[in-house]
Amino acid sequence: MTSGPNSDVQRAIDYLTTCAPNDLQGAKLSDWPCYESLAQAAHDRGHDLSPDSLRTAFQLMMRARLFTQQRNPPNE
Amino acid sequence: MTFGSEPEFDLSPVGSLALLWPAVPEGLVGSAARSALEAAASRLAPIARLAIELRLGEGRDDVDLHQYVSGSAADAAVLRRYLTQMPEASQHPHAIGRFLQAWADDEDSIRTDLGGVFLEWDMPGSGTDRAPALFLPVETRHDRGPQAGGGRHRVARHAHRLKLAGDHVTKLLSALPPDLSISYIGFMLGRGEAVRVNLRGVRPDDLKSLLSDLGWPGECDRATDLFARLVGITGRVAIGLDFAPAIRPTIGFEAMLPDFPALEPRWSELLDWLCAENICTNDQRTALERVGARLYPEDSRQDWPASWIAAAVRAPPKFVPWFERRLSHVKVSLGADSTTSAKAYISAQHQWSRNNLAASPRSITADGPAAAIAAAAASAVGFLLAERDQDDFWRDFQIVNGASDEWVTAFVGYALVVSGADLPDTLIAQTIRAMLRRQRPAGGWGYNRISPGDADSTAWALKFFRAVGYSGPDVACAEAFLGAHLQPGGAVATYAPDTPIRFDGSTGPQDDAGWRSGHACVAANVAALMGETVSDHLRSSQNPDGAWTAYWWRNDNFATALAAEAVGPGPNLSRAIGWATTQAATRSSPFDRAWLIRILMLGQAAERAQAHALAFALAAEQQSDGGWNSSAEMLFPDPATLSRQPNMAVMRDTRRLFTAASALLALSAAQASDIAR
Repeated sequence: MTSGPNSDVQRAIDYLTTCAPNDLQGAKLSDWPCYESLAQAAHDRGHDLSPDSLRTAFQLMMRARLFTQQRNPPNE
Repeated sequence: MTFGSEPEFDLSPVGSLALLWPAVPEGLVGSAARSALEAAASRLAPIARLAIELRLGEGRDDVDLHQYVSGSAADAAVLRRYLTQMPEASQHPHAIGRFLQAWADDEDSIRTDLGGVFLEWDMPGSGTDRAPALFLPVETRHDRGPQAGGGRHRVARHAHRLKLAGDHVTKLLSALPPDLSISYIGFMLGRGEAVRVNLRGVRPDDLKSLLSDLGWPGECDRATDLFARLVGITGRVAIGLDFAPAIRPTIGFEAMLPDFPALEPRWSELLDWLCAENICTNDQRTALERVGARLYPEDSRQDWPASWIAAAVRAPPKFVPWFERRLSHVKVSLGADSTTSAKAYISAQHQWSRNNLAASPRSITADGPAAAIAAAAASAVGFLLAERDQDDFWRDFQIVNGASDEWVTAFVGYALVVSGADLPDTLIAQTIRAMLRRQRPAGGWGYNRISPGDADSTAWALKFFRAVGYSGPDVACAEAFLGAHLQPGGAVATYAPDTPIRFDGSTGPQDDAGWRSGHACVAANVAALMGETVSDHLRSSQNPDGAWTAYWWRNDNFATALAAEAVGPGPNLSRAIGWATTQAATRSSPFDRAWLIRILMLGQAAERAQAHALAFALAAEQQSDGGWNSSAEMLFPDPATLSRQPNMAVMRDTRRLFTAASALLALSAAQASDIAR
């Protein structure tokens, strides 16, 4: 499985979790909901990712964080 | 608002507008105003907590922009970076630059002292480009005595040092009567010496004398009528008075309501009234009702601003952001020319966390457990008094029908009276009058004014009246209403057979047999008023473990305590005390523990000692404002459901009043016990 929509999303998840935290520091990104802006910033740093895959990857990443929180609720 | 542990990333305020605009029609904010607001927002410090202020009525399309900067270390770090990158901001000719730098550096502890600041720009992009107004918090609702004076002194000191205004501010803050609660003081930096003082908690009956004492030059009767009308609708209305430096003839009333209009029926009443007064159009009203939403980035239909995504992926995994836009409050002003006008405030804020951070408990400084319990009880009384709305009702438990006021007021009023605390002279009379204003023709009281009368609310009202020694024909009428809820065998229904219950959205009769069936929690409450028939029913319906199963509550502590007090000495009480002893060994919430204390207090010396230890622990959990974490868990069963089910919707007392009143009842009982002495 090296191509197709799922692998695109997986690459986008890998990018958002590993490279993006450093890559995007100081990047000039749109202040509007605009995944093209994110894709362009990634492209400028050598990562070819589609806006759609970045959108899906970001949503999945946030869902994963929530899921982890629900499994490990903070102490009251 | 708590922002203490947020990550310190830049978040463009333009993102807040990007997520706000889809809910704002052109008729509310035109395209020219949007462009001006976006341009202004792009020049602000990257803190994404904005609000817009809209002038309502025909032909009023000017919009102001607000930003909230918290006292958190994260906001300070963002502000410091911003001021470094935008040196012109800190060198602004007005005092604002000096103020922002001082805030970022916590100079002279200004940030620590004040905790947050609102910045307000009048009509950005209109060409006037005045310096913003700064609104600084002065006193909290719960500050009393020296604490309140300390707040005024701190603000005056910082304002003087940063040259926000002249000496008149210090004089003004010290001249305002100490029993007034000043929520904010606004420094209109673009308007010379002008300041605005916002007052909270003023009752309509007191406004005329207050304005007279202050030498207010406007039409007192009109202002009082307007204020009374708004308080009657919303319960909480702040008063804004302008000084420049003498008091100005304008006055503003800011009416605040919790939650979205779809969940709080009083918004509808308020907006109806604005339209009837011709200070809001129907289109504006419709738009304001629809603006509220919470947006979540994990939702597949929700796109997120790209620059915010960069911050989210860099933040530690415990942060999952969200966004809220909502109608925050409405302001009705009486101008110098005696015309009324209205504004609406819509907030648009990025949030970092889904978790409510628990407030820190206050530190116990009293000398020993008995003194700590007494101090906690006194502080709980102060908390409850400060939380009363200006129409003399206490409100809590926000549900789809709005918050409860009649039921909650009767319960809180009862707790305050039986605690034996010294209460303000007028409080009892005011509460009696407020309750009597709402008595239904059939004699009862309900959850709130749009709900039908019910046995539980009516029983708490009668208990309150008994506690204060009030009697009269209205009490006899209420007792008759209560009697209609008695069922064969001594069970008590929440709603009587002939009480009409209307359900929103239902087109025909709905099965409401559950709400009309006998409920142990209601019988337990009513027993003291209805005698042995109900007490006998309680004796025969106790569970084998010693508890009584509540219908309206998630746990049984409250119902069991009321039932235990009703059945009197005997085997039922012994079993209830045995149950409470077992429960006391397990972890429980402040609300549930308060009622365990009440049960254990009915036992022998060993149980009373256990209750006293629990009361000391309860005192130690009290927060610095005198309340406890919200923990009263009311259920909202399907009307057809006859018994409590595990998956019923739970409603908490988000204003913490029911928990605090229950804790007060428990602490008072502990104070009165021989163990305490």
